[in-house]
Amino acid sequence: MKKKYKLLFLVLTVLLCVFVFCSSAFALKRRVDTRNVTVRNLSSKNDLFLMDATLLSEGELPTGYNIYAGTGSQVTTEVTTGPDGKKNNALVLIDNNGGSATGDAVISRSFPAVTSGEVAMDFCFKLEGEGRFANGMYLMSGGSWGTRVTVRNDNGKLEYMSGGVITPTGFTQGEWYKVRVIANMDTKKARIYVRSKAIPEGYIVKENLNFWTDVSSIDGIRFETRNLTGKFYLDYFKVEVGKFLELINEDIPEFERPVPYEAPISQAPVMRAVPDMINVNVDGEYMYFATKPYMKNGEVFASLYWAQRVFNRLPKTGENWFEAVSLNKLAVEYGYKAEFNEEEQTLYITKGAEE
Amino acid sequence: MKRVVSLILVSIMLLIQIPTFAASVKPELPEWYKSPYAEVGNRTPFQPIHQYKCMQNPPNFTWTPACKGTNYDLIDGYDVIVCSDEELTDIKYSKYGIKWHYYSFPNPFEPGLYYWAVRYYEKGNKTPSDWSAPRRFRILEDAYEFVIPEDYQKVIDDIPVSHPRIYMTKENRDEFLKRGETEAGKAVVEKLVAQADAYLLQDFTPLPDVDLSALPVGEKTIMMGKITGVASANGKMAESLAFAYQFTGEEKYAKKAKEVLLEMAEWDINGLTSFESQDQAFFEIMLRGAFAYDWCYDYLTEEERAPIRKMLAERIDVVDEKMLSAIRNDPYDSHMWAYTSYYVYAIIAVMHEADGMDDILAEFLEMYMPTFVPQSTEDGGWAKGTAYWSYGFQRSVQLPLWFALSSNIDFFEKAWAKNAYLFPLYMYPAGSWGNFGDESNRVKPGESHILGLATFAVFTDNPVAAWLKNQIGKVSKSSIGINSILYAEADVMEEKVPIDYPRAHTFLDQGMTAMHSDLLDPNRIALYFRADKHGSYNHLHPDQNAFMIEAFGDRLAIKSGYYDGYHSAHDSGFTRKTYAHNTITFDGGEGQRDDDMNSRGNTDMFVTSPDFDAVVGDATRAYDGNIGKFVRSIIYVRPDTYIVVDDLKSAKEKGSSFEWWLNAENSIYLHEDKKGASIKSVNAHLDARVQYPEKVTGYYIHKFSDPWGRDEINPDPNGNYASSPVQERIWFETEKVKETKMITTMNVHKSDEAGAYVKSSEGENYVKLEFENGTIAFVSTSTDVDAVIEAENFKFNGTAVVFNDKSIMLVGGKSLEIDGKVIFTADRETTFVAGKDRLSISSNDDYSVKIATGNRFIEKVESITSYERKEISEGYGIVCEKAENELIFKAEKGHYSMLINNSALAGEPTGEKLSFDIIINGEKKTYEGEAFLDPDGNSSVRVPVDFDTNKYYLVDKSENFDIEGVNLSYTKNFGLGENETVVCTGNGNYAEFKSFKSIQCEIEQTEDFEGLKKASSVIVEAEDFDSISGSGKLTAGVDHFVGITRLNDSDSLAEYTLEIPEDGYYDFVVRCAAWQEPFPIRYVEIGDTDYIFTLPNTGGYGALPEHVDGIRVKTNIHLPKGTLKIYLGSMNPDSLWNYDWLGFIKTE
Repeated sequence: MKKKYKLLFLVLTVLLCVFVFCSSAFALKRRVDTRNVTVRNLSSKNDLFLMDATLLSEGELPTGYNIYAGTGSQVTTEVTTGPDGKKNNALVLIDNNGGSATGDAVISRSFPAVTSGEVAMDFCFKLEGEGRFANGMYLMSGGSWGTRVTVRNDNGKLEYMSGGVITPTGFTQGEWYKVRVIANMDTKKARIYVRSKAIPEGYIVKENLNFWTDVSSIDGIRFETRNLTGKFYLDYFKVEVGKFLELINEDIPEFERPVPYEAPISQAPVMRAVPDMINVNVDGEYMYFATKPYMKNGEVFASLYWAQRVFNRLPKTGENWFEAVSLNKLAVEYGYKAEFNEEEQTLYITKGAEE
Repeated sequence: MKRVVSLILVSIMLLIQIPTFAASVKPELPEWYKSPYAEVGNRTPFQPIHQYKCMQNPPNFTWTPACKGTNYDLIDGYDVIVCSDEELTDIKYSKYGIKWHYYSFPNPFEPGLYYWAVRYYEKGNKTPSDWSAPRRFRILEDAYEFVIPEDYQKVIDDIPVSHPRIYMTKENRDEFLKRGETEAGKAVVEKLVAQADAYLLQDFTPLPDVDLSALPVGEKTIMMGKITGVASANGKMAESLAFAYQFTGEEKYAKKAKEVLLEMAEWDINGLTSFESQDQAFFEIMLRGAFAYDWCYDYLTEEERAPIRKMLAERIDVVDEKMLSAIRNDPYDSHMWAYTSYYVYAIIAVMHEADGMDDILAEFLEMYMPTFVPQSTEDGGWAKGTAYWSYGFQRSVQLPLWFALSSNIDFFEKAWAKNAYLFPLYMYPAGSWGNFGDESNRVKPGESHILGLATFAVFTDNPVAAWLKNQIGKVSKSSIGINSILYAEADVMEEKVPIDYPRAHTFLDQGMTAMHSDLLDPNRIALYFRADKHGSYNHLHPDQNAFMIEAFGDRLAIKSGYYDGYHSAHDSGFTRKTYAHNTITFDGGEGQRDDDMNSRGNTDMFVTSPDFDAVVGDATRAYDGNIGKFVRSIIYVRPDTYIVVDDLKSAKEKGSSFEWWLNAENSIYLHEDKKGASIKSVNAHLDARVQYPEKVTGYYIHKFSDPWGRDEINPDPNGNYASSPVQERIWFETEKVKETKMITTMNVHKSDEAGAYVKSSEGENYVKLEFENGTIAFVSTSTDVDAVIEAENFKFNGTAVVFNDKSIMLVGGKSLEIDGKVIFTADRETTFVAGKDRLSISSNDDYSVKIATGNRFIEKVESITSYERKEISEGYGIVCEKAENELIFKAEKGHYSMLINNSALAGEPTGEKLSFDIIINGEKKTYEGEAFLDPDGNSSVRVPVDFDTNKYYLVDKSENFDIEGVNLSYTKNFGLGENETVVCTGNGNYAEFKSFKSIQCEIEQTEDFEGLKKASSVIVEAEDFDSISGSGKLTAGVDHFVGITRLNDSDSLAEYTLEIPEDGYYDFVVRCAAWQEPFPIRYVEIGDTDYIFTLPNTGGYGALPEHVDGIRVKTNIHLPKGTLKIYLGSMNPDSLWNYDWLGFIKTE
């Protein structure tokens, strides 16, 4: 029996140790603070898909998308001026029923559900038309909107839906906008980033935006018109998963940048005789000296260090770099023509003189 | 059964033990304790930082709390050990059971190399965490000893029950009052008593009736300034009256002080002067109230004391916890730190009379002692930039003044205090405009410099600080406050001219560098650079690796935008954008993250020598991962040329375009080929040329904007700066590239001289640059850090090689050969410069280098010392081994400047006398002086010469004749006066001047300024100037007029164009305010004559319309009909005035 108690005691001790270990292990398992860690954009293997309408022919529709066009509406590809100011093809949702929510044009696509980490949707759009209410761009979860960006025409704002309406910026008809929506599935928060010709540097519209509805996964994107009479252009939409600090989708062309001012022009400095010293000009080019040349008995002297740059002459035995030598005499020695201009205080050396 | 019961009991006992066992688990070490390089944002930093060379013994010890955020309740203290080994086994010094995350060791350490670490305890757990990663530091051999005694809390017990107790006590009062009997002290007392006499006739100023919350940002900022102004004005009134009471004993002053104090005590502490509403006003009341209460205590009855004491105690109560927690959580909180002194003075004033003051002070001192001063560490710099240095550092030393006068703890013995004068000497000297941070780069040094430098001159007994102060002005001629009695002696103390100081300096604690052509002459050329661990937090900007350049008194490359309010629309939308600074953006203006301590840079290397300086900064981290690499090297080719080498890498797969920014206060022009630009200011020009890459294009913009010219995110300034000039800028843009070097040269020259030409040619992987002063540079165009460049007879690894006949520099490299001979090798990227018996080396980590001797740069080496002629030794972090034709150095991280063969230093006498001639209006005088060695190694003299105060033209001069602080120009006139410093290099120099014609004019003063204006023939508003130079700027803080203020300096000049309606004789008219002595002597320059006039007292600075009078200057000058250019300037820079409009009125 004694042995039995010992065994029991041992078991209890082991259990206790396991408990303590687990406690400490649990205590050790804390989240790493990544705020200061630079996380680069992920490689293309993390791209779920990319739609570049410039690659589509006019009238062609992208494959892999669900496309719907109600009465009087149309989804197609047509030529328009792209974000970079060049003529390009873009997808367009055309809606002629501005007075009602019917007749919508819709394009959507699903992808494998993302339940953790971050998922980012990029797109580029411009709106040309009239309407009271939203033309929406959504990250979807089944039939639910995870988070969404809408464009309202009636008050000239872009809106971001987050259990309420956030209208952070002005909106210009006919201008391209680049948008990136990053949804964090762990925190159920989103970050929305916008660039436009007017705001080409871009800015974060909102951090930690609540999802519109409390969804546990994101599995699709959707673009649609509502109450629009006009055209809703779309291009370059892309979905990625990973961890994002990168705010610029490199696949989207840069905006055309205006040059806001004509610059006043002034002349760049030109080669000249160096002021306050005797100059040496070799074949039309002024030589530069750290130790200034000087005149003695009608000859211009400079240290050998500088002279060798004219004559490519190294010190001879017994000479040192800082010994002064007559440039006139060296010129004669090398068969160059040397002439001192009193007025300009410049020694002109012409290397081609022997010819 | 018994056994079963026993088993159960044992089990229960064991289970009871579970929490104890569990709690004995070692607490997890926070991430930020695991690496000596961990980034901790704006939380309390680990100090000494890793690899720091301490100039203070013992250093301040602080560390980031182990808890996240402010969950201090989870922590049960810390242990700190200081060991001789990295493994932390040989403990030399230790302290266990420290409550907070800061500690001061009570004894100095033996100088040497140490490793320190900290561990923490969780609440309820007696097992400590592991030790943090060890951080190495060295106590330098000659570190300043500063010890806080263990019984420092005794200072609280020593605060007497009697009054006064601020600066003096009942016992030593007579001795303190003797300060007013010295020559300098007498001037202070006389001025303050005269001021108090004026206050006797002045009413208490009420607070404005306003709802701050209803005002837009710009107006709110102005109004907040007004509220502080009212609080400060009343406070100063009470303070000055109390001073006069103490020094004269006359009760009339105490009576008036009492009235003011009682009025201030009536103010609602939850109203306009509340902490939340305007903390600066709040603290002003505390300090001034404390002084006046203490110094008038014996005059006040207990009934009168009670409300004042209550007001002070309530204000103490409001900020007590806020003060402690703000500084514990964010030691960089600029307002809180600046005002710690104000808070403590209030505590001292009511100690023993209000409850709990001793406990409050004890807790405060526990925090204050080891952390003072977090805006700097030991190098004397100031992390909030130059403007906030001028506002903040003086407030910061207010409490040390009390300690110095009342205890045996002298904070002026701290390394920071000993080095504090270096910051204004290098970063904000006389003639400079200041540089980095909010509100900087706007005004030249003024009163705060004078008073601050006087404090350091006296309390650290520093004659260089006294000299620097005198370059700017005298305490006796400044706005005297009661502290003036403490440091008035600075005006008469012996001064030392810092001729022997290096002309460049880096503040490694702050990551700020200054490179000057001349340290003494305010007319210098200077470049300032920043790559700093404090990021863009608070008053700093996202400007890592930015430079600023000023020359001959003018700003050239500037920090653009205005500080119209902290994070106002303009401030955040433009002023705090990277492109408003002279650094790099990418892809159309994308820059560094704003207001983030981790948006940081690092000054990797710095060297200085007579011919060349270099600084290397790494700003990659500041772009938050959006840029792959941005290392900038700035090479200074003395005296006027810079080479900027940018090593850039995109973080994007498809590459980035990079923009190189140049912001200008004045006109900026693009060169025709769009690869260069010129900034043209009144006295100086700057020519910049992009030498590499070939494919760059320059763009110009003349609005507060990024490259896109958008108004939406770049709003114009408001408030005080609503009408301020729009600055211009240019940027050079590369193609979209994965990586590139950008190589730019900049040359500065006087505006009436032609710019220097730079010859540029390209070789394989390098650009060759040849400068007019004979300097040649080979700059690598390779982005491979291991690339070996072969350029003519040079072979090197590194950013650039720069040389002339006597000096050579390798920037950021590991090897250099010339003509096949090895000159330099290093085991990591190092910058070195050698020549003229100087050697300077620098690297960003521990390093070893070999430098060849027996060549034209370093000949035979007999000895190597520091500039202070101390032997190079391990005690300074560097050892040198002399081998045959080689010097081998092993050095700890950092830079070292050394002297070879004990050669002469600048400033040392050469034993000869030099003479020079000055010819004025044909009359010649010869002067002579004892020669000294100047920083370029030439024999020079500095001789004070008195000129008749006037303006002059330069007729002729020899090349090496100069007058410090004066732009000697053949085309523009300039002012000369008494005690000008003439500097001549070599013998036989001369200068010939012709004095300007000047006429002293009578004036007539009228309060009917509207009548004068109506009667005038032509009027122009002050703000409608054609150009304004110097410190002149638009008025701020007054509602009833917009005009010009600060047009006081001798180099301040406002240019106006007026249309004279008809031929005739005219008097000059101006509406202006002048309110204190010395009264302003101003001139209006018309044609070739100055019309000089002295302004009378108009009754105030212009807060009220009746303070601004009309002045008719009896010029009686004949003016023809048509356009007339006039210039308005100052003859006495230590006087003040503001003006509203000016014009001409016909004489009868």
